[in-house]
Amino acid sequence: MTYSGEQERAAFMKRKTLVENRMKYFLGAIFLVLLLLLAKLSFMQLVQTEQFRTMARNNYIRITPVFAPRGEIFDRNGEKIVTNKPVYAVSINDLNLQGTTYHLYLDRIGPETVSMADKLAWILAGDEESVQYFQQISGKTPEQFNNDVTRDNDKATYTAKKQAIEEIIKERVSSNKVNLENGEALEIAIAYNPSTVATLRQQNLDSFGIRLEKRTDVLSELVSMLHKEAVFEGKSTYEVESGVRATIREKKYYRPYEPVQVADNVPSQTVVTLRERQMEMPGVVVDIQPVRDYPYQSLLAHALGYVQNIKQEQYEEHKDEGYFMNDLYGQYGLELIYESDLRGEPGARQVEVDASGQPVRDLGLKQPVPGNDLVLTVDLNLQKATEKALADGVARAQSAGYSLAKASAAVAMDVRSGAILAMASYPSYNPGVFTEGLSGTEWQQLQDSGALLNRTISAIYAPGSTFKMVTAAAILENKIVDPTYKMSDPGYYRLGQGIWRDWKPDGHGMVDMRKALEVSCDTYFYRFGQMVGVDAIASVAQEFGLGEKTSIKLPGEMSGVVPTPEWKYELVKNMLIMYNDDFAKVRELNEQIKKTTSESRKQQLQKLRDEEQDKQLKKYEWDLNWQQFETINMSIGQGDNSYTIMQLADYVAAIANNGTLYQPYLVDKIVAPDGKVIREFKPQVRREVNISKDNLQILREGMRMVATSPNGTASAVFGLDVAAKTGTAEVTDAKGNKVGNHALFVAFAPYEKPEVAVAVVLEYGYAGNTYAGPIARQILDAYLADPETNANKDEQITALGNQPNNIVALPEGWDTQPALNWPGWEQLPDDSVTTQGDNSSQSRQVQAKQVPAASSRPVTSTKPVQTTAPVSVTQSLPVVVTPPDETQPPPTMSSPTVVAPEPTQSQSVQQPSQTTPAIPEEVSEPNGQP
Amino acid sequence: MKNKRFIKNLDLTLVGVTGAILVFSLVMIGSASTDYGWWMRLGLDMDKLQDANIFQRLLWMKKEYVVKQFIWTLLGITAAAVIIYIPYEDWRRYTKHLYIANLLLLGSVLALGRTAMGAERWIDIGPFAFQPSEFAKLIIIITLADFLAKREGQIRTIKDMLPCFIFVVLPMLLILMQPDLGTSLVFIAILFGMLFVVSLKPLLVTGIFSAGFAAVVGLVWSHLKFDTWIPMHEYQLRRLTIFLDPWSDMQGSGYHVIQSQIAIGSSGFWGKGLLRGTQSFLEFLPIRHTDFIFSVLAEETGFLGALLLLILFGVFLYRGVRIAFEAKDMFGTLLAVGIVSMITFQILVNVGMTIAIMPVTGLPLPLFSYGGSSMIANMIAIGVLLNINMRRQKSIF
Repeated sequence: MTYSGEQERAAFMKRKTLVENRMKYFLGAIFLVLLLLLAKLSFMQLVQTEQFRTMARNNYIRITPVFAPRGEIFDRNGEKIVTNKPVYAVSINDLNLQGTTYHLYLDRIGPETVSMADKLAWILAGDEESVQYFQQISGKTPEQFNNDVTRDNDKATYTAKKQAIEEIIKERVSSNKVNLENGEALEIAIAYNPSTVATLRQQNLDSFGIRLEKRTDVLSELVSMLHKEAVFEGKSTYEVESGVRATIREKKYYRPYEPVQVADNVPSQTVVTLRERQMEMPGVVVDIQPVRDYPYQSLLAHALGYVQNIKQEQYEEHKDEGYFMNDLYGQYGLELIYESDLRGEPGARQVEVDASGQPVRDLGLKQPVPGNDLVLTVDLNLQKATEKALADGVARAQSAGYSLAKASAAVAMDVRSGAILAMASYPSYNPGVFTEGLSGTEWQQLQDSGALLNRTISAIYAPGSTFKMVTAAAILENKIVDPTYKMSDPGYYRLGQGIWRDWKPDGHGMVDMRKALEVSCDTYFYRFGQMVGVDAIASVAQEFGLGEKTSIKLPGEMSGVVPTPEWKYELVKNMLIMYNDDFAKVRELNEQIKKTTSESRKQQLQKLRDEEQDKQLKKYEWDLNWQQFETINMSIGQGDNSYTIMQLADYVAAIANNGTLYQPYLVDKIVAPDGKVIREFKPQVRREVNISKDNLQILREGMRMVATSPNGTASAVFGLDVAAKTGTAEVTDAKGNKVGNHALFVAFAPYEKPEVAVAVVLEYGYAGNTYAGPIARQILDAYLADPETNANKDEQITALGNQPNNIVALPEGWDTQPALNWPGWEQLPDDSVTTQGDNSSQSRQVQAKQVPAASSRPVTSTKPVQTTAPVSVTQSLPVVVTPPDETQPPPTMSSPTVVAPEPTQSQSVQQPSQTTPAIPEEVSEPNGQP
Repeated sequence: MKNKRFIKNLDLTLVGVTGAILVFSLVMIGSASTDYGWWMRLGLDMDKLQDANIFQRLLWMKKEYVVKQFIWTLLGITAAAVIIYIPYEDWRRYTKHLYIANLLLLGSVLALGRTAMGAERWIDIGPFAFQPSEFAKLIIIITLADFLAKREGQIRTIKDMLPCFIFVVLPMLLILMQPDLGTSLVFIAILFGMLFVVSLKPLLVTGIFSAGFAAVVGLVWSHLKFDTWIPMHEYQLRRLTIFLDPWSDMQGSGYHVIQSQIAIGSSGFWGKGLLRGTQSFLEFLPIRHTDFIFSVLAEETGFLGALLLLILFGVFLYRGVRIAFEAKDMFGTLLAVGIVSMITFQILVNVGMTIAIMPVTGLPLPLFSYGGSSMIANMIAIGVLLNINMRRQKSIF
């Protein structure tokens, strides 16, 4: 009041400017705050949107995979070999289920209520599901509740449960006292188990005012319906229901959006019934899962492979391709190789869920895309015939007393393309067992039975005389002898002091190249094979693709071995270094080299090691170097020769088609479900074999004589328009004792215009012509009789015209006739090598020559570089065994360590041989191998 | 005559903006409170919802909270109208009473209060739960404005400021004891906002504020680093610092922040549409219609909606600042500054919490979150602003 208006105004103005100033800052601060919020908001909503959208989707969308049907597999004529069958599973979606239950109601409250609670609790504590119910209404977690009622022993636990239940009942009663007194009934318990209900019924519950009321829901209706249809074998409805309820309890907690399976493998008739009653049973879902089906059971099993749940390491490797943890994956054969084609694209069922995981709605089904189909080059009928032929062949050998003859294998190949028409390995298995799930012991049994081994590509055999075309080609190519030159066969071949006997002791008389093949004259090949030398033979073998993977698109193929001096040297050297006592110092130095870190010291040690090694190796020069007897052995397909049946078939096909070595293949084309061809496989030429056409013609003529002329080793079998070669490979065990002979047989037909090549092995089948020949015959008969496979029908008719009886059926009494009774075959098998000398020297000689044949067992690595592997142990045996008496003993022979007498031998031979079980797993079950 | 002048001087921009915010808020409360569980209990069809147009969806919203909030809004408008009538200068006579009443009220919360979500904040009056701390903020603005206006031009040193601190700290402590850290921090925001305007040394005020802020950050940091003493339980601290790395405890204390960020981030520019926000409708987002209503808004109306709301608040605050500036006396200026500080701070903390730049403290979004006490208190605050505006000295400009 003392201030004048002017002064007041001035003060006001002063304050105004002051405030104005501050307000600018104030406004700035507000603006900053809003800008800060806006900046973060726009970053989140405009930049990071996708990232957060994914998170939101992960929140509210649950995806359950729907498996795609795998691609089917057809034979060349469109016959289904592998297909899928639907397996129906019935699940229930609504997890708020009670099942068949008896609800206990308390109608009135009275002085007896306390004893009622006690009595009820005693009964219900014994019913696991009722206990669960009380746990749920107690508001405790299952863990808490269990902790509270668990005691040291069962009886005390039972009492604790009883007390807990009694508490809960009493609490329910007391908190609902008012309602009860007003005449409202109170639900106090639920009993599930029929026996519990029966006990309750006996308890005269009425006197306590308790009423039992039965209720059923969708689940119990479903279960009783399925039970009527006999879906559950020997299980009571209660058992099934309580099992499902237990799953529901668990799933409700962790995966509430996922339907719970009630029944698996439901017959389609039941599915129809279910569909009719769908309205009455909401929440019941029928899921169809395609499962592999094999209409011909074990047919072509080894090539097809099988499907199993994806393995951990496969999942880790392929999870980016959208595999699920419980997905299916091709584990072997074509199923594995063409996994990406066969698999298809899994669909998905999307379910929207809320925060508690309850399903909100079905967002629909993304239809799975079925996998692509494979059309094979295999002919179903020929394959069937081949498998039957193998089984028959084994049975024949068995009934003739060759108890070891348990396994065999055969390949039939189109010589014009390399397409596989049939490939079979006996014994076989039904790949369907893998889809149904295999227990550990069942798997072990299958593994032990040897049925899983694909003997056409994953086992190697000494080729025996089927190798003679290679030696013949080497002789011809190097012009060692004119093919028409006839030599006189005395029944043995002598080189230096050594004598090699023919399988026919009297000899074959005058023998030229063609006749040598026809009668499988060993003497001829000993002589000229020795002359042409190991390198020439080996190079022809390699030319024919022997000892080299055929690159057929199948897993587990082995390469086999073409023995050469270099290969032998490496092998023996490594064996010596590993096991020979003289090389102890070398081993020691090697250890030191491994441990040393200093580079200069290492070099020093290496030099020392090399010196020592060379010094010791000099002692064993005879063992290390290729010896002539080995060439002689090799020239008739014995020794370290070891090849797969697939290689033999391919080699014969190359002879038949005049020198084109094809890459064998099984899949003709890959076809999409809509019929569109996705990929078509054309024949792949591995190489044109560098053998003159004329010489190949000579080989074919020789092979034809084998099958047709009266003296041919297989003439008894055929007499058809076929060219063939028999083979018998001696098998010895780890100690070098002869165990038996593998019978081999190769053939092609028709002779004039070759179409098909066949290679057969019958393990321990005595001799090629006797037991393997008929198998090949059966296969070729089937081929020639089948108009679908024979492109040249005229020729087929000619063939039929020649020997009509033999084509359709085997000669009468085929099965009953003992092998030895076959005309001309009373004698030794064609390739057996016998030597001069007394018994003891003979036994040693057999060892010396035939131990390498032990490699005819399935062995994986046979390349020289791999010889450090224990696999090669058996193959090194020639090193330590006595060289054959007949050959010129090398100077070192006088040294006692090398001219190993029996004791030393057993020391140095057996020790390595015991390591043979360490052969890689896939080939560790050579059937019949002692 | 007088009335006419008042109506002529009514800040129509402020009223309009407030109205827009309120309408927006009611729609969002409807959408936020409608969730799948409720929807299913009504037996409604999910697919139908997906196909529905916006009007149908508005109709199908849960009405319960919308109606309640609408009633609160009407009550708030009434209260504001009453407030507008009484010239604000007259209130200065009752500031002492108000201050004491405030302390008593806050004390009674501690004595009689109902506990919800770990804090005693409510007093039950009949069927209503009344939250005194909302009104405490308003009362402290009025009393502090009076307190400071009396000392206009005299506040230079820290010593001069000390009584002001004590003045605010008393009620603040009572609120801290509830415990309600968020509201106590609002007190600090109000205090410093007003001190900044009234003090002769605004730099000093800023300095004290910065020093205090740095001290708190330092205290927390040294606790986390060296485990030094802190006046707080470990779990409280955890809740305050979780926004720095919510993924470290996805299912626990970080859950709110993560779900809120997902809701906001997944919306994009246009948003998912009303009732179509998966995060809110399917109940992944917690406390949707109150604390996290901004997340629902951002999820369903997108960046566009969020931007619109922030612009509305911006205009609102700008008008508030204008009113403070144009007020005819220091008391009016301080009142307006206090209110603007309070609302700005709450927007910062609430929205900041939903986008993980502020700790989760449970402060509602002014004028937007569901809640009666907060609505009425905020409407009264607007009434105060309008009151100041109507009685300003226009002749100067």
